[in-house]
Amino acid sequence: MRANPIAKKKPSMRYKSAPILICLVAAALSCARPPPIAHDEVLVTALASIALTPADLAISGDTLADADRFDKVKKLLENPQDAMDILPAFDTLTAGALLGAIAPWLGPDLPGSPVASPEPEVPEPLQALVRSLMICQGRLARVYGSFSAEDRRRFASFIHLVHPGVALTETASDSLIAIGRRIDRAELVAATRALLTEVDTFVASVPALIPGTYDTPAGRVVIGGIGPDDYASPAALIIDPGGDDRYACFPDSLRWGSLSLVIDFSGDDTYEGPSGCGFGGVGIVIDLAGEDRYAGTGTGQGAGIGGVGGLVDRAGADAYTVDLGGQGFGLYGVGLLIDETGDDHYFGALLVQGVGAPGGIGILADGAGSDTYFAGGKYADFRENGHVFQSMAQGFGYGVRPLASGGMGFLVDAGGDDRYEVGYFGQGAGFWGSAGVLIDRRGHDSYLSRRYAQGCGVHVAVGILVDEMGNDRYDIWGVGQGCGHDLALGRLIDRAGNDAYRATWLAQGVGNANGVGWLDDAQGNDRYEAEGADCQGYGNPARDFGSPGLLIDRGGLDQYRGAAEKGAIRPAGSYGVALDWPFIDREPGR
Amino acid sequence: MIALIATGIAVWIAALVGPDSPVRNAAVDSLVAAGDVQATSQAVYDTNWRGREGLIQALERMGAVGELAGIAERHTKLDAKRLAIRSLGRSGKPDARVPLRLLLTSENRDLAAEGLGLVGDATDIVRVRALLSDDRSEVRRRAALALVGLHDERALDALAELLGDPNHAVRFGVYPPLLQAGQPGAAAVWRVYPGLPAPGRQLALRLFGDLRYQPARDMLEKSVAEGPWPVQLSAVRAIGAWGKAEGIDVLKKAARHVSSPIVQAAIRDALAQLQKAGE
Repeated sequence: MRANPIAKKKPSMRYKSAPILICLVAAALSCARPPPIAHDEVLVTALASIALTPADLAISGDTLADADRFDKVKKLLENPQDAMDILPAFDTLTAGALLGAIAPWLGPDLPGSPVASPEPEVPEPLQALVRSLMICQGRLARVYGSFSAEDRRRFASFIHLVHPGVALTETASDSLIAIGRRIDRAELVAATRALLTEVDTFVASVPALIPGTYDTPAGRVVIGGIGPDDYASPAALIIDPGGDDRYACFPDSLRWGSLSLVIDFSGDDTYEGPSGCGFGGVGIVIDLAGEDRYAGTGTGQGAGIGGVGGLVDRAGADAYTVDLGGQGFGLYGVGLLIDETGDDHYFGALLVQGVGAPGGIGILADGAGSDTYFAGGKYADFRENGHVFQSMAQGFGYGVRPLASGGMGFLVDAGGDDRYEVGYFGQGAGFWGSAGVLIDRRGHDSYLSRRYAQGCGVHVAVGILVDEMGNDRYDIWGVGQGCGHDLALGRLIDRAGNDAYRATWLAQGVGNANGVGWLDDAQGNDRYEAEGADCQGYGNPARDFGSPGLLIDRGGLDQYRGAAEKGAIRPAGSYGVALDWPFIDREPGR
Repeated sequence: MIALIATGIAVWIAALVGPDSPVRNAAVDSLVAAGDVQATSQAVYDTNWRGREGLIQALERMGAVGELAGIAERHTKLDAKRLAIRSLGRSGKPDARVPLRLLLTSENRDLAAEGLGLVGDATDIVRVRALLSDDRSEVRRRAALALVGLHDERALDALAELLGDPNHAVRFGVYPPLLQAGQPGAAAVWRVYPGLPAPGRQLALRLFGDLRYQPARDMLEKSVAEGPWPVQLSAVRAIGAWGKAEGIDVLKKAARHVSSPIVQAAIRDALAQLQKAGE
């Protein structure tokens, strides 16, 4: 490595200004957002026309009571009108803010006694950071210390719990779930937040460091040079000031109780393997600048599997590729991928791009830039003769039926004209006791999916898609665009723009099998195309009662299937209604 | 022979664990035909949820009440417990009454009540009636429907009262049996109508229209003229469903003073419906 005085003004300034910019954008968005509706006259009108009240939107018959259920999910099922309340948690897209927002959802973080840490023998600029690493390690030791060697052995195959290629027996699944439930995720998040606070201070201080390797009580610390470096061995801390670097230092096996942190200041870098992965520990990557490539063949890129995994990329047009369980994936842990600026490309096969599996929260947060999100193409679904692929992605919650309710998955995109594509399951969808949420703040976006997507809850779960601005296009084959299936809630909320919706069956505000489905478009001249009679505000009965399905359009000159026109209120099925507001009565023939 | 049976069950279980298919249905049929209650019930503890579903279905068809009761009591999985309780009722066996009665105080009392509606006797009416005021809507709904199955002479009154339930699953759940009961069902609703909240009144009006309940004739007309708009709307639709030409005059008269555009549009639809029926 070449010597380096680390006069890193440019990237540091970028780093300093980026959070300010993000906060300003978030504040501006808050101002631009339409105000919340205190008394929703439109909703009340639509429901009253089919002998229902807003209270009737609460899901009845939810008997799931396993230890993995998030209170937040239960509350959403009980109060479908409160779906928008979840948005403020994602107003500030920084790691500290996001972890702070979700921390209460994981349960109380009971304060333990402070972890003692001696002053490490490292160069002065590193001392505080290394000391924070040691303190964090001490907290991790407490979290993971109570597990036996047998637990650790089993935990090595933890991802099998959600892997479609592995047929676990229920006994084996139960065994893994029992281990997962014992992991104190609130403490892991608290420890990670404390570390990230010190990382922020360190980066902002523009440290001057001499390249080299140090053995510290926290583990190996490597300081790179300003040229291209190749990191092939794991380390507790890697700091690289510049150059186009290659990181192949992320072990793909269990690192029980371990902590690793990479800070790269600039350069177009390549990250291979499970970067930003907390697999039974905490793994963080922070890349401050450059057009980077993240190439993973397994999990990673913000994956918390019984741990916390974080990947923060602050600038540049980046490309992310992963197979299964990554790009903001949590399984009895928290996974966080934040990309602040640039036109980015996200590719993955399954359980990627903001996914909460049991006991987990996964977040993919993208700030500015026109981005592409693709998930699927590898793992076949059994339906349609196996000719379609599962995605389970892009704001998705996944439960292990019937053993463990799923967690919460979020994809938040703050700007740009974005393209989202999935096969089965995704784009604000939840399966089995979980919640999946996709929030797109602005831009003209395109959503393409096959089934169970675009605001779709399946089996006592919640799926929400919120698009706040832009002229958007929604395409799905069936079961989505505000569809709740089997005691579940599905909501698609489009707040502004001239939008186009297209579907074939069971879509556009559909309640099915005692679920609640609700498509709500606030403004703009919209076009709704649907083929089946079971679309556009449709609800059917099951178990002796019904399933509310609502299509509500609150403004603009809209086009619907058939002869519906402005001012239509049309019941469909035994429990559905489509309402175009404001209701203007027109004489026939006009 | 035992080994052969065990092998056979293993093969069928393999077919049970997948998605719905003809093969899966055939596997359930084969289990029933084999009739090995003990091996089938034991297998419920050794498979996944789909397997359990098929095995419990087979036990239900075999009328294996004791085994189903055991699963309902001892199995650690909630899905197995609930499926077994449901199957106890669906087995149609009087023997199932005792375990179902014991389950009326459990978390799964909704399904126990439903089951007693299928296999219970007159002594169960009091037990089930006690659940009509349960905190859980699922329990209230299934208890009400069970009373119909138990031929409770006051069942229609209970159903009518529940048209005013705060939960839509209960309100809409009791509607079909009231409709099926015909004029006595409408009479029961007529008695409680003044005390029903608006959503309950809307359903009541629908019922009067669907059953052409004569005593409610004037009240329907009055509701079109005076009710809050959702009640007016339901009254208009009820008159439309009534299908009598005299409704045309009522609706035409109402159209002159009704202010809600939604009700106005419904009046037009109802008039068109009545005029079409009269042609």
